[in-house]
Amino acid sequence: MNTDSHAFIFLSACVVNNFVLASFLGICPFLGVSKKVDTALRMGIAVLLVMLVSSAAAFGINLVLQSFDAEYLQLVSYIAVIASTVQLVEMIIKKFSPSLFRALGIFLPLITTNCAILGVALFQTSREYSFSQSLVFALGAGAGFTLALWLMSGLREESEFADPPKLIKGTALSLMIAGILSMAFMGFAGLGA
Amino acid sequence: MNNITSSLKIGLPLAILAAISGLLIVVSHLATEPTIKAAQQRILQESAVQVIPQAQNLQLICSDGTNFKAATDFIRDQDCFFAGQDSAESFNYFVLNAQGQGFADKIQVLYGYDLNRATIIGFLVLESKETPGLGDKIAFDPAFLDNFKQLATQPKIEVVKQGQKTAPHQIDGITGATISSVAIGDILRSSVEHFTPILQEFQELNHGK
Amino acid sequence: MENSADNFFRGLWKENPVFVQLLGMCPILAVSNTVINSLAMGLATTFVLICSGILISLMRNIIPKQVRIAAFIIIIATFVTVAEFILQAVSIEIHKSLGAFISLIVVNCIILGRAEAFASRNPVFPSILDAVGTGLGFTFALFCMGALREVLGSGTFAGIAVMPAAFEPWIVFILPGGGFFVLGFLLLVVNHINSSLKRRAA
Repeated sequence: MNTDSHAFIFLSACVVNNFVLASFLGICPFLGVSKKVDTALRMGIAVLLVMLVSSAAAFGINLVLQSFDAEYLQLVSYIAVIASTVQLVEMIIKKFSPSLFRALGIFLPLITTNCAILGVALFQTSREYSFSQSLVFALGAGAGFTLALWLMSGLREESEFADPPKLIKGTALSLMIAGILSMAFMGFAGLGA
Repeated sequence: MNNITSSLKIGLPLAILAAISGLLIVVSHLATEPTIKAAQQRILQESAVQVIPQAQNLQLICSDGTNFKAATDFIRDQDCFFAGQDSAESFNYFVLNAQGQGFADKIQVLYGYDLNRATIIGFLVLESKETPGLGDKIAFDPAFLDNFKQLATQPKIEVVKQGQKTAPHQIDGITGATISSVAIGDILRSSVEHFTPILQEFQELNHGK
Repeated sequence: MENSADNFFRGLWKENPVFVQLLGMCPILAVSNTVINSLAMGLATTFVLICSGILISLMRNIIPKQVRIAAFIIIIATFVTVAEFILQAVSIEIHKSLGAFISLIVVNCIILGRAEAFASRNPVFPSILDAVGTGLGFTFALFCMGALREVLGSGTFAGIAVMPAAFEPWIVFILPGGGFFVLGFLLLVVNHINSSLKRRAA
């Protein structure tokens, strides 16, 4: 399969080079919000939304910056865009689905410091994706993030019933689980070749 | 009225802050840019010499579609290449910069091209973030790099499974790094296709000079 | 004086940003596959922590409460950009191998966390001490990760071969999965040390 094709970009961002498990982006929410399956799913979807909007916005900004030869302002403008996108998504969710808004609570503003989102914006620029490729990339990254969060939360719910040694309980155990998940995802390498 | 003063109270510090941050970024950009540019050029020049050691007077040339000009750095939206002379002082050796999507991220390579024989005679991976232990072998695996000591580009560069190379235009891939190997083949093939007419024009213009 | 020492040493062990507060996990996992990368990342982050700490502490009475987070992020992004230029001028190779993770220092929760919890409430000098302590604590954690992963995964330390020639590198340690395992293991060790210290004190 051609490495420029939309299907490859989506698969690559979603499973083969999963943002969380292979590129280590968005680890904080991955460890912090993966205790329950339904919160994890909601968080994943909110991140997916923000990613799509900020990816489109970052694409526009990059065009403007390039025409002024001012790429050194990239980082500052991207982070400003992401912060405002999060605000925007927050307002939209608040207006159309107050129940979802309450359920997401504190996690919404925290999305600003989710490095997966800034990562999408930076990678799509450095890989010189076109507009549609950028959107597909953001979609794949968001889906991959949701998938990782969903799997992790399922495993953690199960491990609640286990009785591990006291020392390993908590984050150390979660990291070991994540390590095994990450190795399992390595099995996807070669997919699409 | 109250509304305006309160928004001013919030807006003014933010505006000052934005000015300070803009100033800091621009000043540090201007201060470090010459050093960064010089280092990049040095690395590029050294790598180019490394790719075709036998070429003489290697120099960077950029083409905007109509004219060829000597340049000091790669220019965006232009076709840039290093041109070098062979022992008969004809411009026959070229070092080209090519990039494309690999398995993990962008792969950037330099390769040496012998135009008269339409053969790749040198190769160097400038940048890759391929999987450590598997895909990153494209940069240093000796058997893989041997492919590029003499690689015919006619009829068409092809990547085959490890150990199955039978023709001079085939690249012996690396087991466990199939996607990365195929990506290298794609990158080289499309770059050769794109640059061949440009290089031929350049060679004709400078014939006998 | 005791207070200043506490500002400094707190970040190193007792409130180590990585091992105890579990912040800044992304760079810890992503760039710790070699010792050199770890140290470069740690120092760049420390630089940003110190500079943004100073500026935020200086401006702590001017920045309006409602927009403070936005203001902090702008300040941090500025210094990250500056750090990126400096690193590029010092060594293009290191800059290349860290890639996008240099820019991603912006969203490292440690920096925003210290800005919100300390620099915006304290004068300049304590803020600098706090930033240096936190930064060194972060660098220390990165260094432990980098050393373990590079020695086991590539058989080298800062690029110099340290393992006997017969040693076959365990590639898994420089792959993503190995990052999770090593960090989990280090957390285990830190938990163990802390709990036995507590037992001895009791």
